[in-house]
Amino acid sequence: MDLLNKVLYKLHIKKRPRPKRERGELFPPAVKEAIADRGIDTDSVIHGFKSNMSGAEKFGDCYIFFTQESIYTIAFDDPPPPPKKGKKLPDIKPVINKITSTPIADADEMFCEQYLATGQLTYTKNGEYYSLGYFPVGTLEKADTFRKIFNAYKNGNDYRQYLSTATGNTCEKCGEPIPKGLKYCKDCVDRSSTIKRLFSFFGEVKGKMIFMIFAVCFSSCISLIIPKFSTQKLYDEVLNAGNGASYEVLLKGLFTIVLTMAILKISQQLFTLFYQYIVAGILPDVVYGIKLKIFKAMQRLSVGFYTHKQTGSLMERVTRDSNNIYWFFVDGFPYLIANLILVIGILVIMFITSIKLTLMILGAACVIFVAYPLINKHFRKLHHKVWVQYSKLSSKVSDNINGHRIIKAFSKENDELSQFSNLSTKLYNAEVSVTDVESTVFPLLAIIIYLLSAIVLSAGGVMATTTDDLTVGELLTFVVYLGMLQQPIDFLSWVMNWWSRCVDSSQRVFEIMDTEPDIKDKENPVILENFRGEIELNELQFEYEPAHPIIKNLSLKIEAGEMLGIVGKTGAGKTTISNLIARLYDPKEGIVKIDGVDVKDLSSKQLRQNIGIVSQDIFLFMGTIADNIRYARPDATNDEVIAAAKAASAHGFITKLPDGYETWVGSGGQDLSGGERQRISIARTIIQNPKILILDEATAAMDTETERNIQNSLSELKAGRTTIAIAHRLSTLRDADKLAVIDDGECVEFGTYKELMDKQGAYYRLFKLQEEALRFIGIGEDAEAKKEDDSKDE
Amino acid sequence: MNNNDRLTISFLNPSQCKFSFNSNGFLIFTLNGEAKGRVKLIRTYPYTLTDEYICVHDLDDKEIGIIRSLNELDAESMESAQRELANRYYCPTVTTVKKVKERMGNFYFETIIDNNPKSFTVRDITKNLRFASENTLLIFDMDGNRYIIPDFDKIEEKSRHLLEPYLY
Repeated sequence: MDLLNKVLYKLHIKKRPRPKRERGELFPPAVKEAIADRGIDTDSVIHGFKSNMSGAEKFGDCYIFFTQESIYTIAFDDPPPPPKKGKKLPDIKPVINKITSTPIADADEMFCEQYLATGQLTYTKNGEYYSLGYFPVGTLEKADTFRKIFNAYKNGNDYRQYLSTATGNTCEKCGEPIPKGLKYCKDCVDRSSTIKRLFSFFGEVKGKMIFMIFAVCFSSCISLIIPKFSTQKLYDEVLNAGNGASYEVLLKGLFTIVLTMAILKISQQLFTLFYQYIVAGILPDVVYGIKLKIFKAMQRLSVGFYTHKQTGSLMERVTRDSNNIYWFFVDGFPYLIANLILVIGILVIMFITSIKLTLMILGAACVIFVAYPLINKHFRKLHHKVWVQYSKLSSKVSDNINGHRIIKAFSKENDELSQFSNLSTKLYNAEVSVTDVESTVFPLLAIIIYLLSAIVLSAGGVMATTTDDLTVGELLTFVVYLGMLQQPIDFLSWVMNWWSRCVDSSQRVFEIMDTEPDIKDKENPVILENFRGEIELNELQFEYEPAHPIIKNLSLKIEAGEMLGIVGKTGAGKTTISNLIARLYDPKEGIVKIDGVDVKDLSSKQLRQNIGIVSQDIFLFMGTIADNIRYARPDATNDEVIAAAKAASAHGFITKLPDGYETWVGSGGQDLSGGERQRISIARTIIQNPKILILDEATAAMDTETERNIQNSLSELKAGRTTIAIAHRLSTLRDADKLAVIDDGECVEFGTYKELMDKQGAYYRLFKLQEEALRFIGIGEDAEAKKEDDSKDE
Repeated sequence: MNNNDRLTISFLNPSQCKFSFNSNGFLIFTLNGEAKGRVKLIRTYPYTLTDEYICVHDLDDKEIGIIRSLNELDAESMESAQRELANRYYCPTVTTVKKVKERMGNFYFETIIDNNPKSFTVRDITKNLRFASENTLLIFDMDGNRYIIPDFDKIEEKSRHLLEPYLY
């Protein structure tokens, strides 16, 4: 039984049993026992994590956790090396190497420091730093959550809110810890489920698929019997019929063979045509379905997903991966069935014709079966090298074309040429090495194959002439079948690579389809009857990456219809605030309320319809300028489009373009300057008519005059809506009812312009600095404008 | 900070710089007799000039200055600074790659690091297996952990052959 199991495991037919682990459990049972032996009650652990580093530069099992009394760092001895293959894993208990404990009262605050590939947990006591332990950078999120939980616990705050994010990633089947982003560990990945899902795409065309498979089977069967009817019959019944046969009989025989052949060939072609016709009908539908499903899944995902994935890799999923699936099913799958039938059929016929000769052939084929994969593997490597060099060369060319102005400006044409020449030489060498191997290996292999065939056929010749086991006609048919065998074997040897590429592609496609969006509407979201636009930010905390907080404890309130100006240094977290209000991300802590309702409870459709963002990143879609302005409200009339463009000071430049509002923009369209594109994006937001308007450095790319024009238009639009304007240029915010100065993720000042100027704090300093800078470069107007406003206020 | 300060590199006078470790094992810095407390050392060229152009930052990440070369420091300071840098820039070194298995677009690596077997998973292999300099190879796993092969030409042939198909 053991031997049978071993064979089944080896062939991946049965999975090795693996110990089940309780999900989310910090300590495995043996570790728990070892810790308990030292008098530490593991049930009283409030929170902890496995740090995987037992020293500053040493990997090893180490656990950092805290109880009501102390913080513990427990490092274990390295486990013995795993036994050699086939040997049983010895049952070794983990041995504690070092225990460090720190009374909770001694730690004032915990910190998480990040280095290159590691990090360190530290705490302070009376301003002095102490180390708790190290962890690899991949555990940073866990370490940072541990820090947060500890600090909250220590300060008497609610630490339980962090516990939900603290559970680690474990395999859904066996409970083993696995990297983030995977559902199953490598031993539990089930290829068959992917295959089942892949075939489920064809579920709607099941009937046609069955017809197609039948057609393929018939076509292959006919190819199988053709040599039997042509070569063998022709030789045995016509050419080798002996001198006694009459001319009429021979002619009749020949005519019958030719007629049978013609019927068989025509019917084979008809079946081939039939299945190709079905394939052509099914596949575009299926591939259209796959592409549509991926695209639909991508639309539903949150902004966070796009920030973590590269655009290129996502594009590949829609195009290359779905094409991989497409090509396998168009060019691979039908021929796979056809070739399998051919190989099996040919072997059966060969065995029926002559068992001895077939066995000899199979013996000789073993040489080829061994040599082929080895050669293939070697070629794949060589081809990959060529591909790598080719990609490098293409990147260089694309770099060069995109950066041609810089190259010319720095007069670096010759340097670029020499770099290109180096890469070209490498590509040349890689291609030469492939050709070298090809020109020696393939002829050599061909010679071996011919020699082997010659030996086998000589033996067959001897058998045909000296014994009654084989006729000459049968021998010739045998030769034809032998020739027929080569092509399907060739096909089958590389179709498996193709198949695994198709499965990989489908796996990537399914990954997108299965990803749950971070931002989801509740089951019954609140629909506000009267969306007023009052915004309240309550103790907000947010970070894009663990341990790098962007917003730290931010609270603000903006009444409906008010304008809030947000100022602060680059990277202070201003744009993040607008992202949180529009619920492009959810805060880690705290609440964003609109009209007194948590945005998480609101319908995101209603929320986004009522929030208009003009951001620093201007994106115009492929289409006309009018299409772009109408994006938020496709039913807007031409009058409304022109009115919005006028309000955004875009009408003037649009009418100067030869194609006016029908100018094609976006990828491959008319070149527009940054300011022009920005004005179109402002018009797009104006036409949306949102209740909350967020202007994130909306006028940064414009000259002062254009900015003033847009400001004037926007001032009119601001009536009746809440406006949040983020700006570096303080003159942009002169109409703001309230101003907030954001520094390092915190609101350091909040009040009216007058209050902040009187306070002479952060805003005053920024204002003075900018005034000085403008005076320095000879532009005093912003400062003058402010003074005018001051006098009006007074 | 005036304009001149912005344009010139603030090299620190090595004779005025003293680095040492406090009793808790943290690096502390004294500049011209003035105790600066805990500091961070940052390599500006982490792969090619490991002991040169070392930035000294305070804990708020404000630059105090740059040390042109650690060799110019006194022996004790040099040793302390090197120890701190080795700690901060420690990156697990892969000495042997035993197996690279691909399943569903994820690459499962079985390697030897510090004489111990270590397995990790790499996704998007062309991006996460790349050269940092001429011969230094970096590997990033799915969790964001970083591993290094300092000299790709010097690892054993079998490991090299296992990685070569994925190198870009």
